[in-house]
Amino acid sequence: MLWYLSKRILRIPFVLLSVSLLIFFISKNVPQDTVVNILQLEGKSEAKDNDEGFSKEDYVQVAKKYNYHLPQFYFKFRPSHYPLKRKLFPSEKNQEDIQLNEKKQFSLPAFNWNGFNNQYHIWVKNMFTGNFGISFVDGKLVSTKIWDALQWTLLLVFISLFISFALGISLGLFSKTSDSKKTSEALKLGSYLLYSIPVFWFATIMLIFFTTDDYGSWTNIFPTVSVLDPTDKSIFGKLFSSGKLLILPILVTSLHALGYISRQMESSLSNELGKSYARTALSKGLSFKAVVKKHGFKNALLPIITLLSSAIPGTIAGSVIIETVFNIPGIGRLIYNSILLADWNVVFALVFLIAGITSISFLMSDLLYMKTNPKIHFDTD
Amino acid sequence: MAYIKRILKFINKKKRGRFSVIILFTLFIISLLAPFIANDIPIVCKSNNGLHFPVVQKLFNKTHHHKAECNWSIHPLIPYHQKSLDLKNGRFKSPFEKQDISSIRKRHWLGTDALGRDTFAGLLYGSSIAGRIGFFASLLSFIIGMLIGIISAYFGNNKLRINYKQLAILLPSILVLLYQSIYGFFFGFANDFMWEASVFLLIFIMSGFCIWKLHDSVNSKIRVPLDNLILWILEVYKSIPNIFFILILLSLLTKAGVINLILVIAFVLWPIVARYTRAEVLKLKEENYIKSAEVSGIPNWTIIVKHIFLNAMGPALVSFAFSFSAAILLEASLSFLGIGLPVEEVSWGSMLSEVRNNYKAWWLALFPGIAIFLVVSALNYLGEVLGEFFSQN
Repeated sequence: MLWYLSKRILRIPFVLLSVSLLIFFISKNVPQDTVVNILQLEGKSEAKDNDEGFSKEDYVQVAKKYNYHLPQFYFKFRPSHYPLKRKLFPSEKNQEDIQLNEKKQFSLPAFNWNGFNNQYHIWVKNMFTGNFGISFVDGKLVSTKIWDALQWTLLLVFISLFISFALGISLGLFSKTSDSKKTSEALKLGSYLLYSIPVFWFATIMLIFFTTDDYGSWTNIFPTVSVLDPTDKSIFGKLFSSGKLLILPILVTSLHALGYISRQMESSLSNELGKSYARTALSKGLSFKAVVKKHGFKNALLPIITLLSSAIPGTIAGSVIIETVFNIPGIGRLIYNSILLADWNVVFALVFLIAGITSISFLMSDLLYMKTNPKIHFDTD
Repeated sequence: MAYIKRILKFINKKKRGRFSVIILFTLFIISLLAPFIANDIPIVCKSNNGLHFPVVQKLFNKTHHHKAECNWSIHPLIPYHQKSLDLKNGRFKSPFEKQDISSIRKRHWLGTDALGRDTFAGLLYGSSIAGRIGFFASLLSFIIGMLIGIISAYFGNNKLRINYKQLAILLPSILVLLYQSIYGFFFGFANDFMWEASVFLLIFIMSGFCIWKLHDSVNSKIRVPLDNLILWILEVYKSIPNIFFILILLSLLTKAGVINLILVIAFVLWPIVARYTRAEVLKLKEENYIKSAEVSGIPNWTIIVKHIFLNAMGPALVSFAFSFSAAILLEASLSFLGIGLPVEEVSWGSMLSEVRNNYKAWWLALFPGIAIFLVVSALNYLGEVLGEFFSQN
């Protein structure tokens, strides 16, 4: 088991490294030019030297300041008639592209080793020392921006997961043990509906019908969506100042997860009760409820525990929709906005964070599974 | 053929299966017939020159005759195209509200949006767009996922062996191919097509030659850890949630379009199929007929094509249904966020997103949402029923 565990933990840095490579290559090939963003941020894009609205000196200066003049990666393949160093300035680069394009000739691939002084290396080094850089949209530090957003998402995710697990497990238990068949059928159908309704539709419907009194006085249950108060810095301050506005998003998120969890709980419980030890207990004369309470419940909880750790990344992914609909300045909305505005420093850090959380969650789920069920061995893996 | 009949019979026996097949079939018909049900030009038009079929002509991009020339005409049931703007009834007209219309036939039965586009027409056309994106994206991911899943499970970490000479050719060519495909995809193709093409051709010929020679190398020394490699890729995929991955990939595109969206969704969804197929093939590999085929010296690729592929195809259909619903859901949530599809394209998700401009327009949220919900749950049901069928057999 120790061998499996160490192998499993050692895999995480490799996954994160691959993620960083992937994101880096994508970020270097998006149509937007980051240097232009920085120029606009620094207010240098007014100079009327050319069509772009900034001067060549400023562009080159900024590009050099943020290491955009360095080679991108450790090595490079290129057609051998290509120049090793491409032009930096956009219009000159376009011209060079056209010139190279005219020379349609066959040439062998040339390999070039760029050494360690490249953009990727510097970026990874900075990440390790905790220097995530600044956001190119508003000039704030990336770490503060992410920490502000993370608090909102953590509030949302943990409160709704707590609610959904507490309620989901008890609902699943109730639907299995309830005496009337009708209740259990209704609960089953209800949980199925809750789970299969798309989140964004559910959120929108709740927002439309239950925040105004247009459709009868009783429908005005929840407060309308408004801009959340950004002044409070601490998590609990946030909870107190805008807790009212968080009710609906938390409700939507937890109801969606609740459907899935109660369904899983129900099926896992009926799976356990079908096993021979439960049948033996029943035939010994124990009551059905006692069998569920003493034997079935604990064993049925095993798969549910592992659900918990995979639910965390799932809920974070779902927060993109929820936070956009309900106007919460959390991680999901931050990553969406940053991608649209090509604010890659923020996107890098966020994707890294999420990939880390996800990998650790899956590791935790494996560990919990091993801890709770000694029969499981992963050695054969 | 008999197998397909058995599957259909099984689905027909189950209530859920019947329900989902009926819904999917209806939506398929609706998406095909959408231009004939909702359009602002007549289906049949009798003018002085004879009979015309303007809708059909417009479908094939021909100019159609003007409405005024018709002596008599048959109009579609709903006299609005998804893109036709009814400015008199703009600014979110509710279905029950008084509408500025000349006759009852012109009423917007399900209301309009900000520009006066008919919700019902949008719903009908939206089904075709959702179906197109969902089907082709999941088909593509099905093909990729099955291929990778089969290769990963069948060859495992030990079965594929090569010798040092082959490694000397294969490894650099794979590295260059990988680099070229990543780098060239983003940078190069348009700039220096000749160079890209020649390098690609060279690499393809070289690696193709190696693969052709592979079955000769029984005593080869080096094991290719294909399974570990593919599992590693799957783990990287698992660590980034789908929606984030799609958002990042979409930022690469300079132009929004249906085909681009299909490619991106397929690129993100194939691990669903690959994981499922891998698990299926791992089970299949233990069957006696596969083992005896191996022992009797039938080459690997023949076993894969003749036995594994055909037998894994059925169970993999389950994951096809699930990835279909996932693709539709992803498309809807992307259009809801306002990216992915071009602005003029009306889809269920984009109709839903218009609610965010006016929270009083409940009809724009309710009807497209019901449509999405029906399709997605029908596909999920179908997947479950298919799963039951294949687990019984």
